[in-house]
Amino acid sequence: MADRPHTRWDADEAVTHLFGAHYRPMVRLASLLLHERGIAEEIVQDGFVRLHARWHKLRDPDKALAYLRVTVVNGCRSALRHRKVVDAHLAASHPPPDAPSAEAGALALLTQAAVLDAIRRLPARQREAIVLRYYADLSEAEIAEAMGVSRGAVMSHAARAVAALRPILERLA
Amino acid sequence: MTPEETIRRALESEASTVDVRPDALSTIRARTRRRRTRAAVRVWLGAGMAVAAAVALIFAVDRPGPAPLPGSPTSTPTASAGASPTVAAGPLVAVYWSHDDRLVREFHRAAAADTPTDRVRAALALMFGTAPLDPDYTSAWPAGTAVRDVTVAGDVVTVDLGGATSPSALATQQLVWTVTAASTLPEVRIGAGGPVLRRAPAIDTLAPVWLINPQHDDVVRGGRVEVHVAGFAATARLDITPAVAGYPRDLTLAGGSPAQREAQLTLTVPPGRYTLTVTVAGGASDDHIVVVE
Repeated sequence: MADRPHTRWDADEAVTHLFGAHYRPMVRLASLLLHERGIAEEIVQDGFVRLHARWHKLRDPDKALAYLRVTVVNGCRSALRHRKVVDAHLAASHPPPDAPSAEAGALALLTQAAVLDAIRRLPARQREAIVLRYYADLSEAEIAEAMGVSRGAVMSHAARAVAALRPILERLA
Repeated sequence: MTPEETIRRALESEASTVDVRPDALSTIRARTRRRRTRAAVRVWLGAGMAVAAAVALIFAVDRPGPAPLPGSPTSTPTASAGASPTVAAGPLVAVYWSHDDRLVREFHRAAAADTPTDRVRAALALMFGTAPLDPDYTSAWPAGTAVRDVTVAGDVVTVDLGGATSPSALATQQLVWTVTAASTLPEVRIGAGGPVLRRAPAIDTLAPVWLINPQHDDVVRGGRVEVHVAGFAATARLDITPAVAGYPRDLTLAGGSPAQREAQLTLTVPPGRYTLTVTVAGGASDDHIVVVE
């Protein structure tokens, strides 16, 4: 199966190949967008099931990956609209501690925790732009496709996000 | 460090703590099979309705009176649905074990646990109270260690071991990786007065290579074994005994996370008992027995 060209994959083969390469990164992406891991994995599985149904139209791993990203970003957006998830999200967003502890390496971890906390508090679209840019390492065009917005809107969301994060980043620098 | 690097590292660090369920591909497959079955039923019903309409028309033309109903078409989809795999009850819980002074992960079935506290209790009950599935794995904790209580406050899970202390750095990390996987919270204390502990870097802690799937002593039906390998190297060698044509073969590890890469393939073999061994440069290896029915 591994030797067949992707143009001849059936839907099962496509899901198997794409699962191996992209399932975990997609769950991690969804988890960063949601801050809710159980639902993150469900959303990604939904994406793979939809991909299976649509493979006869996609027929290309790159197109399939872009399609998966769109379904995952949309799925996370829908889940966040659900009040329960929003509540969990806010409850999980604890303010960072006031001072670093004496534990070894705590300062670096504290910095990461503070940055993550600030990212979680961004509006959904701004958080999507930041996570897709700095975690998924996507180009502006790819982010625009995943978010379903124009490249200009991506630039705008990203610029606002960075501006919102700047105070905490400068304080931690 | 630039602000962009700070953001990047923070996101990567957070993402690297996210584990995925080992049965995810099976779950997706079961759903796609169900979807296909439903589609087949719709086609069947559609055809049945067309036949019924035609029969009704013939009867309406040939003789007046109510048209006969077609036979129930539900026996076919019921038989197809019966082919779907049965999902065992209870969630899968990640438990870390020691293997050659590094940590490896297994997933064990636990009783339903809804809260982070319950999930941690379930995972630690398995870690302290049961043996790993793979006899090559061990616990770094001494026998008899028991959990008295688990509490969660903010991002910190406190595990009360009744005053017992960790015998080694590896044992500490075994507990930390297991607790953080179950709670999805980043910090752990052993005892209320203990220091706050976090996961040590994966590259320094986890085994260089391991078989995520199949787990040791798994029984696979249908002759198709989903093989899932994780490791830090770019390639790993997969060998199978008794011999299977095409093996051993080198797998390219990719994707996963920057720290830990993965490879996945489907192995089709006749029924039997097989040993799958995965090895990376330097000699580190992991092997699991799988029974194919």
